[in-house]
Amino acid sequence: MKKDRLKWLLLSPVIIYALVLILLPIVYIFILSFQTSGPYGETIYNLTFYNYIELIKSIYIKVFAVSFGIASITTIVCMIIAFPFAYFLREKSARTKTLVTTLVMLPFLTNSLIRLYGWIVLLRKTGIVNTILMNTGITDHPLSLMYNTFGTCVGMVYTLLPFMILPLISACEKIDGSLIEASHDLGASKFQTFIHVILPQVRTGLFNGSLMVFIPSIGYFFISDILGGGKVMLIGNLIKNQFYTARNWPFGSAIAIILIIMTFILIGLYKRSGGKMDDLGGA
Amino acid sequence: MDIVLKLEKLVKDYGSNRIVDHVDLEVREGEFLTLLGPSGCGKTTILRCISGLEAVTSGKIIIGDKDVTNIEPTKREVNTIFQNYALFKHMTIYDNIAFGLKMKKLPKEEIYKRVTEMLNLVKLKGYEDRYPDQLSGGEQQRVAIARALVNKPKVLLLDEPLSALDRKLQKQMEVELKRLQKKMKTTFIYVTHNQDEALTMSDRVIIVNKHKFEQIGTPEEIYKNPQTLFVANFIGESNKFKATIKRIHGNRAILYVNDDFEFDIENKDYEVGDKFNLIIRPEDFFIKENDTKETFQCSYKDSIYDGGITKIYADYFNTQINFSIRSSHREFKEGQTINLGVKEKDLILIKEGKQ
Repeated sequence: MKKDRLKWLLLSPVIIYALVLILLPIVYIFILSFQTSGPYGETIYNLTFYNYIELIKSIYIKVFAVSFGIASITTIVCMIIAFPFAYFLREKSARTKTLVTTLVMLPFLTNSLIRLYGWIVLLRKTGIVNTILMNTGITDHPLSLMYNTFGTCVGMVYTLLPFMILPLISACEKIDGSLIEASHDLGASKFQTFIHVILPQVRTGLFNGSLMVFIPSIGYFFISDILGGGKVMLIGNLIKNQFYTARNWPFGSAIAIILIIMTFILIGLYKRSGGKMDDLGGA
Repeated sequence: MDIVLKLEKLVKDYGSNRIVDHVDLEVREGEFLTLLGPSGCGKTTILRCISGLEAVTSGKIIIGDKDVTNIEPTKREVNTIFQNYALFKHMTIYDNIAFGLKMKKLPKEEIYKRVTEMLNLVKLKGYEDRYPDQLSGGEQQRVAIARALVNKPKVLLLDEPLSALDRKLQKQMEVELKRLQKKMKTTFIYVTHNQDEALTMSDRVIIVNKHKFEQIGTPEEIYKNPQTLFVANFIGESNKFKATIKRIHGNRAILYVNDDFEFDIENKDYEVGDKFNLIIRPEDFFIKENDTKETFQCSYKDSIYDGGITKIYADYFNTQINFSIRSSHREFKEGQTINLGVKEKDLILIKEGKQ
C-alpha cells in the first residue's frame, strides 16, 4: 500500500498537469462552443448549435479546404525530402547518425519566429533567391516567392521538417536489410521492393511523421502571418482571429473542437488500417 | 550429367581481406551439394556471390549457359533461403509464397495453382491466411522453402537454414529437405558448418577452409579418405599419430608408427623416410586378445556411455586414443592394458607438410 501511495505521489505532477492544463481547457472550450457571443464579446450562456451550423458556410469551408490543402502539400513535401534522407542515413555509422540527428535538431534551439524572419531575407522581391535567379538569367523579373501560398508552404516545410525526419530515421533504422535482399532474390525490381517491402516497414514511421507535420501545419497561424502576409487564411488564423480580433470566443471554440475531432478521426483511420498507437509514441 | 552452375576463379575481397580466393566449381544438375566449413571460411560469401547479392571482385559465374557475373540478382534464376528465413512479416503466408510470381506478373490463376501446390508439398495447407509471426520456427522454415521453390529456380541456395531450429526439428527438416530436393529435382547448394547435416543430406560435400576449397567428394569419400589434416580433423572424430616409412620391400612398405611398432602396408610409391600423419577413426579400432603384432598397446582410462556405443579413452604414450565399442560388450578396469588393432584399409595416411 505504501508503495502504491508513493507511486501516486510521483505521478501526481503529471496528472495535475494533464488535468489542469490540458483536459480542463478542452472541457471549457467544448462548453463554450455551444454558447453565443454578445455585442461586446461577452459570452451569453445558452445551449445552441449555432456556431457549428455557422461553420458550414462556404467561406469557412474554404478556409478548411485551403488549410488541409496546405497541410497536405507540406506533409507530402516533407515526406519527399525526409524519406531519402532517413533511408540513406540507415547505412551510415552510428557517429554520422548522431551528428546528423543533432544537426536536424539544432534549429530548435533558436526561436522559430526569428528563423522565419530570416526567410523573408531570402524570399522577398529583392531577396537572395530572386537576386541569384535574375543574375543567372533564369528569370528576368523577380518572382513572388512570399506573401502567398508558396511562401506559407516553404515556411511550413522548413519549420516542420524535423518532425518528419526524426520518426523516419527511427523507422528506417528498423528496416530489416535481409528482407530487401530476399525481395531482390525473389525477382523484385528496386521499385517493386520499395513498394512491397520497404514501404510497409516504414509505414508507421511515415504516418507518425505525417501526423506530427499535418496537425501543427493546420494550426501554425504565425507562419501564414509572416510568410503568407495575412493573405493565406488557415484554420489556425481563423481560430486566432475569433479569439483576438473578433472576440467571438464561442465560435473560435467550435472551430477548435472541430479541429480536435478531425485529428481524432485521422488517428482513428490510422488505427483502423492496422497501425499501432505504441508506434506513434515510440518515435 | 549437365552442369547447371559453374564458378571460374571466383575472387571476392572486402577491402584488403580476401574472403573467396580463386574458387573453381562445377555443380551438376539435380545434385545436393554442400559447402561445409568453419565460420568465417567464406562459404556464405560464395553463396551470396552466386545469388548476386554480393558483387564479385574477379572471376566468372555461369548459370545454365549464361554468364551472370555482372547481372543483378533479380534476373538470376536462383533463389536463396536465408538463415533467418527473411519472411515478409506484413504479408500472409500465401502472399509470401506468391511474392516471386507476383513480381513476375504471372496470371492470378497460375499463381494460385502454383502456390497451392507448394503449400501442399511443404505440408502447410490451411496456413494461407496466417502471418509469419503466428507460425513456429519449423513452419516458418517451410514457408521460406516454399517461397523459394515456387519460382522453380535452376539452383536453390540454402544458407545455414536449419541453424535456428532445435536439434530434433533439425533432424526432421533434414529428411524433409532431402525429400523435397528429390521430388522437385532442383539443384541445392547448401551452406553449413554442421558436419552431420552435410554428411546425411549431400550427394557431394565441399570442405571449405581459409577461403579455398580443401576437398570435394561424396560424404563417404570425405570421411573415409580425407586428403588433408584439416579435413580429417574437421569431419568426424579422429586419432592422430606420427608415422614414417622405414623400409620398402617391393610392393610392401614398413610404416613405423609413433616410434613404437611397425606396420606392414602396401607400397603406394612411398620412399624411405617419408613422414606421415596417421589418422584412425575411433570406430576402426578393434580389440585384440593375444596377438601383439601391429598393435597399439594402451591403458584404459575412462569411458562415456553413448547409447548404442561406448566411447573409450585410453592412454597411449603421451597421447590419448579414443575408440568406440558396442555398449555392454565388456568392462575394463582403470589402467588395464588394451591391445588395439586396425585393418590396413582403415589407415588414413596424410603426408606431412600438407596442412
